[in-house]
Amino acid sequence: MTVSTKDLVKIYGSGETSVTALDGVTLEFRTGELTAIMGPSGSGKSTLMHCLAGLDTATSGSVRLGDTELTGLPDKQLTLLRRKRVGFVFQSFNLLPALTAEQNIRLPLDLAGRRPDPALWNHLIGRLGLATRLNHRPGELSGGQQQRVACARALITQPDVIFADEPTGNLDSASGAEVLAFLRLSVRELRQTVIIVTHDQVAASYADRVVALADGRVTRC
Amino acid sequence: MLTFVLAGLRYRRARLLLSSVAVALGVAFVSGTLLLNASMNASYYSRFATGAANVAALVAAPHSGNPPGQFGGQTVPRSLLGTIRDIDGVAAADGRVIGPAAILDPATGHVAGNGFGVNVTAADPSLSGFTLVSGHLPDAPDEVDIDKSTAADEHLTVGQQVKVVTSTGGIRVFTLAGTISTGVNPGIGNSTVLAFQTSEAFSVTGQSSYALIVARARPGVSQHSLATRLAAVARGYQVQTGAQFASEEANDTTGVGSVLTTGILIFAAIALIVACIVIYNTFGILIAQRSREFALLRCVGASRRQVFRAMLGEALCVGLASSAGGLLLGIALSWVLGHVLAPPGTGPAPLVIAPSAVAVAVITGVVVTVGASVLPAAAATRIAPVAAVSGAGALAAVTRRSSWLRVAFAAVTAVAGLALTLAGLHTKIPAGLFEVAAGGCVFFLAVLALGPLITPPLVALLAAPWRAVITRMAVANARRNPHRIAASTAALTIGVTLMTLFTVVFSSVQASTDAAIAGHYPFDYVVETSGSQLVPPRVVSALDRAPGLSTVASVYTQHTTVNGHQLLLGAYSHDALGVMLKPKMVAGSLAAVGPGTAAAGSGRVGSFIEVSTPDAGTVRLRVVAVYNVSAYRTPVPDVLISTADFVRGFRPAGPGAVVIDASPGVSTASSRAAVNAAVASDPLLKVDTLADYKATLNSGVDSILDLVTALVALAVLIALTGISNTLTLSVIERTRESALLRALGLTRGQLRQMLLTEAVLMAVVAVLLGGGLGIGFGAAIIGSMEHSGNGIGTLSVPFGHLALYAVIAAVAGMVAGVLPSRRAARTDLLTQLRD
Repeated sequence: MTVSTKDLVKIYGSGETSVTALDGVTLEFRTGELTAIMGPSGSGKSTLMHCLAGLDTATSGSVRLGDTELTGLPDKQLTLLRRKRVGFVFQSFNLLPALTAEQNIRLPLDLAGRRPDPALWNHLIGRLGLATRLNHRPGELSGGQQQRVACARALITQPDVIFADEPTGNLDSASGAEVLAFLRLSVRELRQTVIIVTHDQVAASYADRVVALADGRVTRC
Repeated sequence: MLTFVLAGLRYRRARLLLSSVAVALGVAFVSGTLLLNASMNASYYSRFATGAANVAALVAAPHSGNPPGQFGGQTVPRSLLGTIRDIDGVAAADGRVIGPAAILDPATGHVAGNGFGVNVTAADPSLSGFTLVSGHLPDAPDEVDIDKSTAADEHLTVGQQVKVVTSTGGIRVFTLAGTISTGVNPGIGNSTVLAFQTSEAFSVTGQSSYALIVARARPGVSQHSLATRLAAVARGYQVQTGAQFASEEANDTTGVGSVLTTGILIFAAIALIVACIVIYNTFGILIAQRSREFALLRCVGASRRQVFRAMLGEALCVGLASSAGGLLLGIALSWVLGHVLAPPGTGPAPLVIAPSAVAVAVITGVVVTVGASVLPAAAATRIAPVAAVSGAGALAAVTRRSSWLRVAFAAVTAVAGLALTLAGLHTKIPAGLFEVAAGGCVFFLAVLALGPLITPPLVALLAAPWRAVITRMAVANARRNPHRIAASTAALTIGVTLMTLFTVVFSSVQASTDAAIAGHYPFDYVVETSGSQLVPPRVVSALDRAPGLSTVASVYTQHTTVNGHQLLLGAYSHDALGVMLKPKMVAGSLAAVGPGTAAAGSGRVGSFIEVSTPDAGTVRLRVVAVYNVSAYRTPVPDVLISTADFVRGFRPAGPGAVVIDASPGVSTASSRAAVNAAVASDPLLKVDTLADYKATLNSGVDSILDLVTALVALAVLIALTGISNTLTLSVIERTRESALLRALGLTRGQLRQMLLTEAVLMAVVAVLLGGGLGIGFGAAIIGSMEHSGNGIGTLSVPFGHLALYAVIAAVAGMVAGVLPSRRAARTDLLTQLRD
């Protein structure tokens, strides 16, 4: 068991203007599985991901990553947790424009003062076909290439779990398929745990398991 | 993290250039002023080094209150020279002769200005106290060298015959052998200087002994030890080292110089503050723009400390690079200012790159940049990581104190500032001046604190008459971030405040000088002779008979010993006292001065003074009036006695000067003709009008005003860079919004117009705030000076000048907006919307 929530509630604002984004979510995500969280806009799927990744704090309830309880964890520990145990892939790639592809991939390790595992590095660069693009800045890469750099950045730290927020949202279908296939492969080859948030049925079809949300509640798991 | 910082710096070159410009200009200002200061000091000393060049030690008459060797003091007997030459350690020694001498203007036949005759020290010409400019030093008895500015003014060329007026009024013909430079020298500078062989110098000037004896040391003998050896043989005389001589005379000339030094340092500090505000502002905006990037960094595991360090690292790099650039700019600046500000005829000050000035400028540049970015960097660490994934880039959390706290702070600082200023008004300068200045700074803090509250309404108020949609949008944009607009106008406000302040102060000083001269010397003409000559009695009676003159008053002056001190004693015709000579009275009235009584510049009514005279022995006089002798720039004798006592005591052959008042209603042309006709018989006399005199006194003030204007203009330039900076960055920040407006039908022209309006509004607000503050505190400074009773007290606000500044600042604001608005209008609409 990698990630789990119990009675997770997230309320934005207070009083009459408050919005309940998550309304008692209890879920378990198993190690070495690719899970897709689906739901229409406003269903709370992004909020759920933010809470799972320690980016946002829950109003009540519990979020556990392995043995660590995230609710109530101070910022310093959350930062270290993100650095070592969580990887992210975003819809809008979110690479640092000033850094080259290689520097972007190494960034989480550099922040932690670590060096990449050479075997893993070669494996990722080879699988993602980035060997010739390492010295390019994001501005010089196609959308698909940028997202593959983002995948490498997420995987290089060997995190407990990777969160991918609409990873194919800004890609054409061919590039999207490449990225999804790679995530699928990393689950099989590296026993990586991946959680994808999406409303794309195609993306969901790569998943081992689909969790559906609506109005902050789990409707299928 | 270093990789990240360096890559970021490379990537954002253009944007960082904006903040670098602010830092570089600030550092340029600081280093420029410090270097200029060092260069000016060096130049003052090197010009004195003309007087003190090669002099290791000197012997002068017992201390007389004047710097050694200044004409009019006592002298050193010739016999002492031989004794000094025999002292072990003296490489060369010679006496300097200084006495009155003048040349006749070939065109008019009248004396061309007051002049001095000096000698070439034959034993070692390099001890003469002047340097050869062209030709050669006089090596025959009938040869003379003349200072280069007189030679230029009178169109004299080497080899030409020159008529020299001797101390006894005789005229001798010399051949011009060369031209010399004496530097700026309180004794003889700015006068005609004639250099002769020593024997001729004695005979022309009528001196019989040396003004001072100067000595050069043998190698290995220090100035101090030589001075000690000289003191052993020259008992009863004043002995100084060359360095003491140089600095004493330098201080004597450059009383203004030290004021200038302090002023320049204050400017440097102000420039730093302006630069600080601009840098703080720029970094704040840069961070707001990059909030998404910081959020992403936090997302992938950067700790707050790492984000903070990265920001400071960036600031450090920017600070170092732009300080280096600013330093180069500052060196260029001081070089240019040195040339521009060099007094006419003296040449520019040599550029001295003092290591301390360089270090101070660079260190302050770096410290200020890093310091100014601490708060924005801290703000960057507070950006929530979730901002990276939530669609819109969240704005950086800006530290905002609640407005009541802001108002409370403003109230406290405003009251404290005003209290300090009021206290300063009742304290003597310089302490009072510092209190007023400190009060002004504290009060300014209140204005800065209130900025975010008062600037947006002011902008709205200013734009109220215009109802065009573009103007309304510009106002809305300007008001949207009160902190930003307040910070960017603050820099310009400081600049304008200073510009106004100094304009008001200097204009008032000038007006006060005029008023003081007119008040102290309410006469129209002065008839004087060159050097120590006297006005012949027949000329005085001719003036008495001349038509159109209401008062003709004789003025007698003489340096003599009063109560044991060497002072300037004066006597005026009785009808002129209190009418033509009007010093500020402390007690009594000048009209009460008669035989047996005196008026003095110090002491108290009823006390007695003892005046040494050659012909009546020591005369004991009762003080009946006390006046303020330290009146601003106007020479009033230290002690005034009756003409009868003066004539009995000194038996002068005539008055030293005659002051004349024209009758009311008589034209200047006819009164001047009458005066000229009366003095025409005597070529040694010259006639000065009050206007000429005022011009001489004011030229010093004017040259400082030019310098100050140049320096403040630079501060304003930095501030304008700040406005341009803010606007550029806010344009970048609003890219999407601008694109949306364009998509909705705003033309490029309208977009440009909107941004320009915003820039002009900010500039005008700064001008209004700064102008008001500047006038207020300028008036306070003048008030403080008035209280000190040094003759300055006439407040003059040059509204014409100030209006011009306002227009210039508004136009400059618009210019500052041109680049950002062009940038906003140029970029492609679709990419911006998609981004």
